[in-house]
Amino acid sequence: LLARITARDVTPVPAAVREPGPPAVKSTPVVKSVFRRARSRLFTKYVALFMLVVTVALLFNGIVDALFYYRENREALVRIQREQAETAAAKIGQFIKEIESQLGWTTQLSWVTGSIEQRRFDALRLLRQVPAVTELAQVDANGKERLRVSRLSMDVIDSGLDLSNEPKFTEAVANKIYYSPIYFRRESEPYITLATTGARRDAGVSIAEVNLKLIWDVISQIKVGDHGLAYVVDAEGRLIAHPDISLVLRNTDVSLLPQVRTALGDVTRNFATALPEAKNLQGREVLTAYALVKPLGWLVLVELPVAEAYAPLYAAMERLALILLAALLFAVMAGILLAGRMVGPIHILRTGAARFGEGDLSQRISIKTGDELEGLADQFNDMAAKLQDSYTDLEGKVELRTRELRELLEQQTAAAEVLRVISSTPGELSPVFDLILRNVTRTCEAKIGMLLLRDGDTYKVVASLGVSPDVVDHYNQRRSPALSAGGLARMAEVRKTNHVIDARATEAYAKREEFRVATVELLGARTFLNVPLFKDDQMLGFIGIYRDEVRPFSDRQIALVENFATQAAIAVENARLLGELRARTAELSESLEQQTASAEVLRLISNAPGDLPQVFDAILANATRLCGAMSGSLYKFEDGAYTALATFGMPPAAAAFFRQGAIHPPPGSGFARMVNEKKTIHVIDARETEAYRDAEQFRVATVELMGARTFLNVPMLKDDELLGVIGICRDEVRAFDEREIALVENFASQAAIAIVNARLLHDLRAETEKLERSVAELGALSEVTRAVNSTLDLQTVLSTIVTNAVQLSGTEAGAIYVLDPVTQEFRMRATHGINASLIVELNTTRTHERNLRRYLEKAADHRPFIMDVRAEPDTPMRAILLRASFHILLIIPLRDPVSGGLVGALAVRQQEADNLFSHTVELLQTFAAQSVLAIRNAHLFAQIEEKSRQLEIAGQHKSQFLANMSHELRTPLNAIIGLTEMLFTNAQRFGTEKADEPLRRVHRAGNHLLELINQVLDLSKIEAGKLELNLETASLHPLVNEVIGTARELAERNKNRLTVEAPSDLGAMLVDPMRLRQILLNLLSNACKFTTKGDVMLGVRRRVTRDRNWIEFSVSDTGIGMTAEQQGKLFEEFIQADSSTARRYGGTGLGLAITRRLVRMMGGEVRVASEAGKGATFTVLLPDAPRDGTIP
Amino acid sequence: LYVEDNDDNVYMLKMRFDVLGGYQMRVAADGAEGIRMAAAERPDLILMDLELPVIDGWEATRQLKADPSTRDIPIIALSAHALVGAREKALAAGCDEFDTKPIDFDRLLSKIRRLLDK
Repeated sequence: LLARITARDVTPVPAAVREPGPPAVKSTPVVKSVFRRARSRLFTKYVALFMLVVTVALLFNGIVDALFYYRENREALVRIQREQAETAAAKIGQFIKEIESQLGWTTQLSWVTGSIEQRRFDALRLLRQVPAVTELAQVDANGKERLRVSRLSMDVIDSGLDLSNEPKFTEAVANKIYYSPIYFRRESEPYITLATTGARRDAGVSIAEVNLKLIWDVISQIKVGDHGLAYVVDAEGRLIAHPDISLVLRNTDVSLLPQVRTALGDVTRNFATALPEAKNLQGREVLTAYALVKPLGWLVLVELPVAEAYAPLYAAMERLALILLAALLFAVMAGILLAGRMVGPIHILRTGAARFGEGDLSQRISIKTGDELEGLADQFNDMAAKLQDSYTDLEGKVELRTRELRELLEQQTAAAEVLRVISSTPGELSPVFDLILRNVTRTCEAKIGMLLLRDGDTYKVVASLGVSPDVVDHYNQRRSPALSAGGLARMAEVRKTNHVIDARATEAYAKREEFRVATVELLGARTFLNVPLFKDDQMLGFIGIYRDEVRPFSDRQIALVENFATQAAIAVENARLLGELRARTAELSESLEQQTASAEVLRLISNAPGDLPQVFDAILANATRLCGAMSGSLYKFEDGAYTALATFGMPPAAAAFFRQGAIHPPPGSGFARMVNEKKTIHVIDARETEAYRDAEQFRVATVELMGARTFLNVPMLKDDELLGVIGICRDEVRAFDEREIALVENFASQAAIAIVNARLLHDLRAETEKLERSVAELGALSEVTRAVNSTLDLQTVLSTIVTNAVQLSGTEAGAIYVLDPVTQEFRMRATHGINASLIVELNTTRTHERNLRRYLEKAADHRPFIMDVRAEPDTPMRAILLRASFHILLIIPLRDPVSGGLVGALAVRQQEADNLFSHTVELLQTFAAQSVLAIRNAHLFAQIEEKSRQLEIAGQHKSQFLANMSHELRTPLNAIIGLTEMLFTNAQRFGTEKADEPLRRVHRAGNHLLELINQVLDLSKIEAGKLELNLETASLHPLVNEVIGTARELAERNKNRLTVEAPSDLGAMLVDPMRLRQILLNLLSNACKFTTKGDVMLGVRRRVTRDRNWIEFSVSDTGIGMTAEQQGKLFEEFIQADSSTARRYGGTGLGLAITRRLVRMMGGEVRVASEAGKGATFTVLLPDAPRDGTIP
Repeated sequence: LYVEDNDDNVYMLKMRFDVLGGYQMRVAADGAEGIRMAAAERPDLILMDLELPVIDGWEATRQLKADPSTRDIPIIALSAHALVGAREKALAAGCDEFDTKPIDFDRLLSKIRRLLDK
């Protein structure tokens, strides 16, 4: 534990010592205070620890001792008390027993036998023997007192006192013995009555009065400690005996005391029960023991005051405290001693360490404890020694480094100075070079330095140090090219510093190279350093440092010179750039001014292309100002005359003169010359001109009013056209230079552009306006036309027309009236901008229509006219119109172009009559024409609708008729065909053999008629649109086979060969198979009919054209064929190649017509190719269902 | 039983069956008579013209097919109407077969035989 406390306590201390850094002096008090605090803490801890250990040990021991001692002592005391109590109890018991037994003797005699004297004698003896008995009475069995012997009174014999009812008699008879309660005589002596009876029946009872003084004696003799005492209580807890007799005499009941109560409660059980410590009658805390007096049930209690009982214990504790104190003193002393021995060396260590920290490394810590502390001190000493060594070493190094740094600093200061000079005097090179040379020679410990820059093909000295002007001149006057050879050329090539240790010993010197010889002989140099200045790849020059002795330059010196060389190169380059920049800036600022002026003019032109005066003012002002002229003027040239548009800086009189109006240039004037030559006129002195001498008015005005001497007139030209002139003048004779002339010419061309632009803009605006108008009109017209063409609803068309007419013509409201062809009344059919109530009012005014007719008829020639309603005669209509502010109306009659009759009118409202332009009227006429067209269309359409309806009814009638006719024709044909067939098939039976041929002809004619009826019906159904196609997907091969099967019979009739040509993978198509069969059979039957002993071929194949799939069926024959003329009519109804054909070949002439109609219904086409006598080919193209399966 | 109002047609067909032999033909001149005769005489098969006086062929067929006693007698409609839908109309009225006039005798015979074989 100690070790741990020490460790924990000591560890932070070195940290506290180390923490304060230099300066060391300041840290000392801190260290000391830390020391003191730390030391006292450690010391205190040691001492406290010792004390703690000793105290704890002693305290523990003492407390345990006291505890046991207390318990044992208490038990011992209680035991002693109990023993005393028991002894007393035994004595009391013995005393009573003895009296009992004595009494017993007196009851042995029978009253019958013994004499009373005898009894008296015995009684007296008893009194003598037992001093405690003061009186003895004997009672016979009947309770009669027979004898009484007393110490205090006379003996009484046969007193006859009847005691038979006394308890002392009855209790004794009943219990053999009787103890009475205690009673006192003479207020001081306790007595008890004791009665006993003999064994015999007539023995009677002996009653003794017993003095219990003896008990008191017994009790009084018991001594417990100094203040302990004993007392006796009876079974009820009344005090019987007590050292303080007064308590007994007062008949004190002590049963309420806890110890007594406990003892009484315990009587019947045992006597070992520890009684509680409780207060006695005097109120003192007591320790009590007790014992039982056997025959009487009394208790003997022995008590000892607690204070007395524990007195030894307290004494022992006092002793313990004393010992503890002594031990503590010892511990403190031991602690102080031990801690002192422990802390002392540590303190020395710390002080030593602190001094090391302060830098006193020479001192040594001296501890001779021979333990770990001494070892620690030795380590400290070692460390200090090592530190001392390394400090010494460091100081040397620092000194060295400081020296190096100082040098470097010097160089950098020099470099910085150079840089500062470079930046503060840009372009000024010589101060920079001088500074560089000064620094370089100083640092390099050389006397001579030169800086040479390239000048053409040689080098020129631009700065020198330690060189006489003669030598510099010598260098600079040598113009021989030195670059192509020698050390400098090599240096330029290798781009490296040339360090020559001994110039005399070099090869170059031996070869007498010009520069080297100069170096050696003029400068007297031995060791020298040439450092090149480079910019990019070009050597600008070099720095030369020369020593007059052979002593090489150090690396650092070379590096320094190189560094300065770089700076010099930068300075040279900077100076060059700066020079360029200045030149460029000067140029720029000059041209900038001009450009700004031009730009301003251009901006004006582009911003306000039409605003010429502003542009001209700007041009003239700029031209005058930039050319340093006094005043200027700008003229427009138009239609052979000049007009001043702008003047600048002119005296008012001159301005008034030149701005007087159009100037027609008089011949010989400058203005006239300009018109002819269209070239710049530059007059140096106006006074010296011919025109002035000839007193030409404008020249005179120029000179005298304007005060001009030198003037410049520049034409404004567009292509070769003169648009105007700009003139500027000075009031002195000073010619304008080229640049100024060019500038004014530039301004002149800008002015020309502005004029041209303005012209173009004006034209453009006019064009645009026209175009916009046309576009709007065209838009409206196209809308109207579209309405007329797209809808037959007259109302829509007329509304569109009136709306467009009103909007486009800029009128406010309008209406279209249409003449009803039946009632011949004008009705308002469409309006725009007229409110509904006015429309109603106008429509219900009966005179309105009549008036309108009158107005329209006024315009007999049906031309548009303007009606001033205000000037009309007063009618209800006029009132209505005026109320609605319809003051002026433009009315355009609508005229049927065919009949020329009036069909209606277009009326628009005008606010004022003179607002109408001719193009408005034209436009409205166009709309009027459209309206007429729409009205005509509507009439026509109504007629067409009526006709269609009639046609439809007729068609229905026709279909019905055909159906009925077919039925009515078939019925008799049934009989005809049936019966003739029967007759020639059963000729024998009917005997009609001879009529066979006629019958067959009748039968054939009947069949022909039937076929005709069928085909007419088909045709009519197709025409009526009642034939419907039952489309289904049909495989082509089975269908073709079926058709061929049917056609074979036909082919055989004319002995034709029937062939089929079809690929095996024809597949299926979506078609009405019945109708397809009908088509093919039709064609095949035709082919067979017109071919004899020839070939009939049916071909089927798939074809693909552009975007569709087709099935092509072709029927070819080698029969009679057709001419082109015949082919043309082929597909018409009831047409055969010629009228004789029907007779020769039969047929109805409807087959091909039906075929073509069916094919077309299917979305296909049928074609024929033939020549007369060379057979025919019919081709049917039917669309195949597209791949996605929809019906074509 | 042949229900037909046109004498020529009756004559023609009766003649042809006579010539053919093996068939016995009774004739009714209008629809009402046709119904009556069919109920009274229970023919093996009825040839029914459709455009008939008193009761037309369609109505007569409907009534015959509605009567349990005549329901099983097969009926072939004979019509001079060749328009699309005539056949469908006849079958809808209850006819078992349909043929057009003028009659193709062989075709009619084959239809008769097929119905009787059933």
